[in-house]
Amino acid sequence: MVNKNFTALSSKALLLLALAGPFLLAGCGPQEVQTNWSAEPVKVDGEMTEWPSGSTVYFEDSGVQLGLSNDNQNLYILFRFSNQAWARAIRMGGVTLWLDNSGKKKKDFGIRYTGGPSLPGFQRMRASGEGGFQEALTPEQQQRLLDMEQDTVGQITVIDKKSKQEITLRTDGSGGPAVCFASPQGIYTYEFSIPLEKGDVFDFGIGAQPGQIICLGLEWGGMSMGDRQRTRGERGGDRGGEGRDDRGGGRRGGDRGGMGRDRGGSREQAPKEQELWVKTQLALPSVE
Amino acid sequence: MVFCSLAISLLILTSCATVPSNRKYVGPVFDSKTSTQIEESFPILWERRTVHFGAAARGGKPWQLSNPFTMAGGRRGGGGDFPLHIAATLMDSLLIEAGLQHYDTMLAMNPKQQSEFHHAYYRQYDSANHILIWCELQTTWAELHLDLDRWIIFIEDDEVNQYEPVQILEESQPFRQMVTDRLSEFEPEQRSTRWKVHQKTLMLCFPKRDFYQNPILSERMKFLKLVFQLSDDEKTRAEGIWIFKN
Repeated sequence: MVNKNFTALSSKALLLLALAGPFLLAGCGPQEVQTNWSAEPVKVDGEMTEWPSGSTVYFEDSGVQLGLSNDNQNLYILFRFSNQAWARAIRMGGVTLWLDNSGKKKKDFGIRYTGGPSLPGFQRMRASGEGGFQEALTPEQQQRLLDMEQDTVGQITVIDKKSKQEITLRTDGSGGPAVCFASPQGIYTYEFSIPLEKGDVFDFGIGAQPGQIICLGLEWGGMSMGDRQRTRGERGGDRGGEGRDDRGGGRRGGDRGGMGRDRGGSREQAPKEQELWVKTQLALPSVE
Repeated sequence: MVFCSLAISLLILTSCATVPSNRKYVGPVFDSKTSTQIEESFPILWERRTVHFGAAARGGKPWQLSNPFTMAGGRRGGGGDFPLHIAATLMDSLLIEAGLQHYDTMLAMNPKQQSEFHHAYYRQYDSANHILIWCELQTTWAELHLDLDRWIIFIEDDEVNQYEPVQILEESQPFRQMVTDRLSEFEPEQRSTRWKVHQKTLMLCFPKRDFYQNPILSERMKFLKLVFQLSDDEKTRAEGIWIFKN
């Protein structure tokens, strides 16, 4: 009798283990994050207005705060951290948001945002007017300079590897996706709005519907040589702030914890490439 | 010419204090540059030639919240507040050349454009006859503190010779960045209160030669001070100091 029960229990345990196996293995893959339904369109302004407490998750190992929400039209993503070196890397090399509507970790469709804090946010770099040099430029040259500075404000590159296309868009959403950077409370904050539906001509959207499971990957850091050369000239009296490189997980010294500012660290090394993948089910309209 | 040779042969070391201080901050050594090196080093050169003084230094707390006794500027003996934060840059010939080249490169100017740009700059700022000091004034106090009539501005050499500017040019494009950028260096809780910063940018033009036509910036000079002193209260003053070393 006991044996019979034991055998039955063992069989159930094995069955449970067999069923749970894929989920246990999946633990090595993207983490699951809840996407909240957004009753109103999120204003993409880099502010936390539409992201109340509890609507975001904090990844302790990487020091990244992530928020996801969607309505019928867009997926809204909030990406925050306090690592100054990362912000610098994103300003120079961008952060790429990989979106896979098959729920895997494919890097076929992505939105890269290049931009972020202006130079004075990092260090006291030369503002254009300083030294009086700009006053001596012709109006056309001054305008070109303005345009160049505007370019560094930010841009979106839509990457579609399947069709081998890349297209650059403004960040204001006029081309579909929208991104805005801000640093409320000193935390570098990137807010994205990505259309759920694909565009007619080019894949500006995810190609997903509410209720669908998607995978989302964030990739930043790991600047190219060109980026390094560009930043080298800007570093001058940089005060550092590369706090940690945590791709291997776990915190290291020099970080005060939470989303606080990083301290110390090398001021010459660019941050290593960072990657964060999450799996989520797009929210369905909440039933009143 | 003397100024030029002085700039190259001397190291400009910076310090800032209300009064001459024992705290001397020795900057890194820079050598004569090739043209490429000059371009790369413009931001660094700028930093080395810039002193911050007056109200709490950049990166600190909003100065009106700071403990007045710990301010870099202010009334001697403490207890007084100095309303301005001043960033002053000694525009020597090397820095000017580096700056011009910086813009040449950034805007990919052809030789003709470069020549026009350089001439325009030197027409605007007479570096041949003036000691030029680029000055950014900021205050979180009332805007009237930026009124130049309230201040006596002069430079003072190591022999206590004082010279007032022969010309003060108010710049029309003082700061490209927004005020919030400047404030982003403050602690978040303080920034959230959004202090309003009033600012003004000047090019101070001092004579290059004294009454006897001797160069004011001589090779023997140990330091040069820039002094901001309240017109009606000589005790309210702050000074930035460039220290020269052979």
